[in-house]
Amino acid sequence: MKKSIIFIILFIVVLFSSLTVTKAGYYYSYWGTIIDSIDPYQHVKTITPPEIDAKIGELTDMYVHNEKIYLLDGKLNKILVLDKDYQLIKQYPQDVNFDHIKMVGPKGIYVTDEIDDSGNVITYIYVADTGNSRILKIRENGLYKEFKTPDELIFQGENAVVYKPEKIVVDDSGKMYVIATGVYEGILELDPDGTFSRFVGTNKVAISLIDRFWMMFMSKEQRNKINLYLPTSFMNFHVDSDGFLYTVSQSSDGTGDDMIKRINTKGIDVLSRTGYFVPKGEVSYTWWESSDVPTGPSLLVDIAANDYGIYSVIDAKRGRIFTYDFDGNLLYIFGGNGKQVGTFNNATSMQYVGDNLLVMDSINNTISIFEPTKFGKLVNEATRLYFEGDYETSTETWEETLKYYSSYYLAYRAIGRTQYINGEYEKAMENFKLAYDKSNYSLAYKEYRNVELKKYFPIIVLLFFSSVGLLLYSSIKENIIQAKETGRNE
Amino acid sequence: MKKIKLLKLFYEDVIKFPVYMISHPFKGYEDFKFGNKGKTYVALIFLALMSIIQILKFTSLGFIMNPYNPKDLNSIKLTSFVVFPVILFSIANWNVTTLFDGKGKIKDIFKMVCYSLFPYIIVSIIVLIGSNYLTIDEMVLLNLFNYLGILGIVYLMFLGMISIHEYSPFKVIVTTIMTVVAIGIILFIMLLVFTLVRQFYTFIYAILKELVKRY
Repeated sequence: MKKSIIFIILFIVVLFSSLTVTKAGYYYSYWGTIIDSIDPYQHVKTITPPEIDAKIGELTDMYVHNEKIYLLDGKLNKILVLDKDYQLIKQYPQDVNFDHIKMVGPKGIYVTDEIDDSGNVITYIYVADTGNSRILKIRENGLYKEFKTPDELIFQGENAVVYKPEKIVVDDSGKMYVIATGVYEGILELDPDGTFSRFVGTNKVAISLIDRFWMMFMSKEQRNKINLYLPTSFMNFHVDSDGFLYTVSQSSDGTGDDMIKRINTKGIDVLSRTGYFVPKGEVSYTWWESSDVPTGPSLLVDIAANDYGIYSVIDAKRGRIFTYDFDGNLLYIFGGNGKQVGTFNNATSMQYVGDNLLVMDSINNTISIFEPTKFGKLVNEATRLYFEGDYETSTETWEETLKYYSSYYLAYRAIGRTQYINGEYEKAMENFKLAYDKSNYSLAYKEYRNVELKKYFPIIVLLFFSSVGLLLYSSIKENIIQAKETGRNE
Repeated sequence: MKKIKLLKLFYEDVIKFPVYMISHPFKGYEDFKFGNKGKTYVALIFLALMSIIQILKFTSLGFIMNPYNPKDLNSIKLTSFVVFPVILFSIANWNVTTLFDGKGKIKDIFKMVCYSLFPYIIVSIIVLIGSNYLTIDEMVLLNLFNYLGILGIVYLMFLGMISIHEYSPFKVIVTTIMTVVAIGIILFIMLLVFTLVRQFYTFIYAILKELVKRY
């Protein structure tokens, strides 16, 4: 009896403990193959509609500012504000003050602080009010400003595009950046007073060789009939503290190498792509159509960056989050689509809160909160230290990550770098080999070879001269013998 | 004493004569065809060496230069990638040249192709050793060497076809293009035959199964 009770208790414990274990993460090896990895982030909490004390139609965007979470509901046309304990503290529109700012299907939200003339800090909410073709700038007390269709050629005349702003970010100087539907010229940059200033970051048009070949045989009428070749439009963006725009768009040429961009104030893409793979989400994927596996490259829908150059992108196709460092190295992958806790149905928006990540799901209307595991914390810490220039401590932290995940090549490379600087070339070579870092290996090998050559140089010289001497001696001797034999004396 | 003589003969066949062929191609090929200097066993040795070098490139090429994943090493595949094209080229070339008054026998053509691999083998050995002791900046030299090896194959094969078939250079170019076409046709027919055999096999198998299930 006692035994069976113990058995049942044990059984239940084992059953539940196995339920709480989430599936292990994965990582890409140097060869682009999938290898097992340790989970960098773990799911800690999901905020679901019953927990939020309000009706929710369909969440379209999310922004976190001053520990407050701003949610945008595109169906019931309202803004929900949650505090850091995820309790509802405010709703817009809530009273008469807000009645006249009725939104229609808003899709993007951004929140920022501005200092007014008397030195007070005022929080402004920017909303891309898609259905009303305008951008709203709302103050907490209900005052607002609206920016209507910008004064640009494409919004005027016969073939005018209807202005439908989808996403908005605002930089420190108050300049607004807007992604609008059907605008292929790039991201609209608006001055703080709402006047149009220019387009930034136009995507390239890519026509495949086969299409180009067939176009050669087409008449003008035929050419007019086929679909226009348009550049891919941007999906989402993020502005970092230095004013750089991190953007995600769909792949224009099928390779997906330009899906993620970091656009500077000049409008030039300056994203560093020095990792083994270009940052583009999934590295290897299948094109083989099947019912249960998504095909093709990642569909990136949002990007979030933190203070020390780490940025994450979210792949809506597979629900996975890919994190890269400022050099474009893939740091880790986590998440996934599914029906379990901590997985997504249609993840569309993502925000960093410190090192935690909030991910919004627009079908489930939930917000999942992810917290770094010990391994994830170490990786973030090491990257931060490297970013700040504290290489010694950074390397120590990288070394620590190897205790959790021994095939993490970034750690080996970091260790190798420090060893190289310290002059331990042979050890550095070993670590660079483990990291598949050929250029650094070459540098370390050059130094190592120099040291070895110096060590053996006297012997080499001695051998060389002695062999030359021997050859000379033998040839002279032969000559003398020959001369004696032939009787000549030269 | 006899052993030393055999060794000397082996050295002359495998190294001395091929080197002589590179420096004196026309004279070399004359000896090759009429002087009975081109030996089948040497050709087979070269073919085997070429296969071994392909495998060694996976395992022993220096870390900096090695683009291969050691997990993908498949020695049977690598060997067949060397042997199969050589045989295919020999057959296709013989097919074409017999129609174009070529004087070469299929055995001569096969031997000629294998002997042409000699410069590439020598270069590859140098590259294999050198790649372990050079840095990235110096790898340019090895790449140049590699191209020289490939050039050597083309050079020996071109002159070989001129002397073996007793052709003009222009005719060699024409027959080479024709050979490529012939290779395509052979591959196509092989594909057809294989699918036919497979279908025939499944057909027989189905009948047998039917019979077994009935009785």
